[in-house]
Amino acid sequence: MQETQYASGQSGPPNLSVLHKAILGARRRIVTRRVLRLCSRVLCAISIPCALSVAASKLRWIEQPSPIVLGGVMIVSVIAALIYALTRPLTDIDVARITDQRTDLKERLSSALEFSGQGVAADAPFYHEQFADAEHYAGVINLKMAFPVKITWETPVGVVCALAVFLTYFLPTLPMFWTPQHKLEVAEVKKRGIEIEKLAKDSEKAADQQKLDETRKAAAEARKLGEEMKKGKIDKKQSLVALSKLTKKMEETQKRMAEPVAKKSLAEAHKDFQKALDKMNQEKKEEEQKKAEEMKKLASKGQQPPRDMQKPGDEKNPQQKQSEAMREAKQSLQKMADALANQDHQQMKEAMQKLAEQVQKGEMSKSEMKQLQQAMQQLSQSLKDTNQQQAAEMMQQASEMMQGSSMDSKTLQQVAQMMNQAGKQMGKGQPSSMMLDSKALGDLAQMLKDGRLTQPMGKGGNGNGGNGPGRGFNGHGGPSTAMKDPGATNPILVAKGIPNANGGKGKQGSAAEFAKYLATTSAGPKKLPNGKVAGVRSENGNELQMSMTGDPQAARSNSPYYQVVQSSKKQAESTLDKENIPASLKKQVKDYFDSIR
Amino acid sequence: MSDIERESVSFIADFNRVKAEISKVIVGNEQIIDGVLICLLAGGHALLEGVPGLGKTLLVRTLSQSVSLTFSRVQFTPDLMPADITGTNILSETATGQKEFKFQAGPVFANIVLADEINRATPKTQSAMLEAMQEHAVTVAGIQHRLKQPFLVLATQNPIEMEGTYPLPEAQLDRFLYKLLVKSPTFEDLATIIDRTTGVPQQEIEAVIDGETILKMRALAREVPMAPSVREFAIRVVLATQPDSPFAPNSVKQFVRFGSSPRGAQAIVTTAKIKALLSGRFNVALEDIASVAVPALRHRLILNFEGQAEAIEPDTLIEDIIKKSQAETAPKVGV
Repeated sequence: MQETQYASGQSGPPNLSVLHKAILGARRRIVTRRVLRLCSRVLCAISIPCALSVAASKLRWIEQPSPIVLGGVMIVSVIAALIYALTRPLTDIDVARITDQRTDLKERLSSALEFSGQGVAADAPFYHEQFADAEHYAGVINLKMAFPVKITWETPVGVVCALAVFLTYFLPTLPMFWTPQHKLEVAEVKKRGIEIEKLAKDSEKAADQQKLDETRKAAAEARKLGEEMKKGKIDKKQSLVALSKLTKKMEETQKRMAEPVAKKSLAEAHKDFQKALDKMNQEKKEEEQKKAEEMKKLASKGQQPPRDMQKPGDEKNPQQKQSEAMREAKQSLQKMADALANQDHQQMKEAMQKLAEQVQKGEMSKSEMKQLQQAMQQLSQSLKDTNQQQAAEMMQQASEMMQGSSMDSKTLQQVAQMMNQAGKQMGKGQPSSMMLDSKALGDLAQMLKDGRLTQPMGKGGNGNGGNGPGRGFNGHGGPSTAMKDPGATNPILVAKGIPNANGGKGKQGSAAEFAKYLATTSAGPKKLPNGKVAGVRSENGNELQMSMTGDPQAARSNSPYYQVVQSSKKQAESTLDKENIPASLKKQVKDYFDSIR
Repeated sequence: MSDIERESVSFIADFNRVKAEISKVIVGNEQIIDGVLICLLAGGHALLEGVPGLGKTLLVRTLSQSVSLTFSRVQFTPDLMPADITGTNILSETATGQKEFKFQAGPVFANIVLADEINRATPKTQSAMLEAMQEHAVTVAGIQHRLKQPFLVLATQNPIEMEGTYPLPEAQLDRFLYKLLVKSPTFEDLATIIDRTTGVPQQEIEAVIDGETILKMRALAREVPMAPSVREFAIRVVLATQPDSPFAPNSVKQFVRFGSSPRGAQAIVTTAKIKALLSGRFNVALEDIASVAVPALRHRLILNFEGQAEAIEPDTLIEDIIKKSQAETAPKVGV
């Protein structure tokens, strides 16, 4: 029986400070144990499958999972477990009961808390003694013994598995584990990054001066990419992919800029118009020949030609008058066709103004006006969807006016006015800044794509640009070469059936071997195995078709990497189609080529 | 030290003194002695079941000697009449020569009554006894006579020789606080029994406490507080004896026809309080409930045909119930 710590006769709520302190301590230890236990279990439960999936991918049973996904799943799971362990409800009564159980206190602590919660007075018979008893035992219990913070087996297992997954991905990224080839690759990427950054900066500056928005934006993106490459934040494969994406984007932007300017070129318009003019002339000639033959027939029979056939001859010197009016008009139309061919907007304007003058004079007959109306309509149709869309619409209106109403002087004046406006519109041409921007963007994209990093951005006319190699941006810088594949060393292609006298010691391998190599290589073709692929006969059997694998660098070629990739890809794809590649590897090969495209 | 603490200390000491006196005569069977004493202190009655010759009658007699209480023994036989237990009015002549009916008290008017082989009497007689047990009074010729306090009935019954017996009905079994199973002595206990009974005469039993002390102890035990969670556990245990209860384990659902009445819960709580006091605590623990549940509930579980056919022991079912209840009420804190 324990000595009571209370003064007899104490009323009011009991003072259970020692008990509450013990409960607080027990609560902390319970939460700590819970966090450790739950997090360990979750880590163990998640990291084991992750490690197994990595192992399976190494055995090429499945595709290699993304390290970000694996790491993310593990981290999120552990954090979720941690949050759950910390926030799971834990009442004082529960803590007291579990403490009672673990210290064999026979519900002394929990009973005291429950009585206290019921509002029992501290001096009530039996309760008073019970509180004192609970306080006494709360003061002497050993919480470390009751709630030892132990590391369960799940902790080391989970940590080891997580570490294994982490190291599988992380170790190969450490420079000390890099192969010499990979080191070369990184150096090459950095060098290329510096070049891209320089080019992008120059382009950005020039674009800023000339107010070429799209070019400036693209140059800024290229500069960012160059910086990343320079800092080594991205590897070769990533840089190639990013560069490819950037150039693609630039090309698309350029295309988009070009679209509203001309869906159809003026050259095409010229073709259409010229064709229409020729057709009209041909029809006219045929009609005249037909009339002449009929007249001849009637004259030989001694008959008078009908009135409608005689009509042109009734007027005084009508042929000469008609010819002058039409000659002028035809000359103007031909001038217009030439202007379209030359894309000379000024000439187009002049031709249209001359046509307007002819119309305004009112010297043309009805049939001539009809011909002119048809020509105008043809011109309008030809110019439709070009950058002269607005002028085409005006011509269409003028043509409709010529067709619909009687040709009084007022109408002729209106038609001429409309044609003049169309001429003015044609004289305006395309905004030069947009053209410049589009061209500059295209040049930049091409330079990035081709690896001509010190090529000037063609401006034309200012003396600083030009397209010749060996000149830098706006005339600065020296010549450079495209980024080579540093993984390629001395590839030698060995043809089947031909003794390799001068071929060196290249590896011979099948497409399956090649595919296997690709599947097991994480970052790009560091060193593609050189070798041949078994050839196939053509249908008639006279021709042996043979595909080669290997690097074009074998011939010390200076071809840019991007050009070589396309041909290599085609070779590999055709090889894959012909060879028996495991289904699981086919996709990997395809993905590889998609990624470096 | 507070009064309660002093009384508690005294409670334990008195209990142990009585137990020590009984142990002078009764060898082994410590749980039976504890059970009988707990019934005495809780104000309930005990049914002792065991084969003849295990010292049931001796235990009761020794108990009565050690507590300085009056003792009577009734051997139940088929021809025993209720009046033979309760007493009857007899016609007697006064000093003046007048004749009058005078109540002649039966053997039930004692502090401790041993109802030996209670299942051999007819139900009519049994019910007369059981009425006295419940009401602590007997009514003869319309006049109620209060029984002495403390009043304890210790009934015995023989599980074998069932020929010509009248098994106690469930309602009457329910009146017993405890059912105690008297087991055969162990090797060592039997050796001691032989030594004590065949050698020198037995030691004299002293009365170490009186009836008044017992009543005080009884009152003290009732004051022991019980936490709500512990009470909830007791309730769960009692409800789990009923096959249609959600708390019942599968074994109960399969083998039990009727479970415990609320008297079972009363018996558990009352006796658990005494257990707590005897353990030196001022609160009832789950362990107390678990330890008293078997003797308090085993006679309140009525097995169904399947249970009887499978010879299921009620004790096994109660242990199942306790395990399930402990698991369900255990705090789940995730450690």
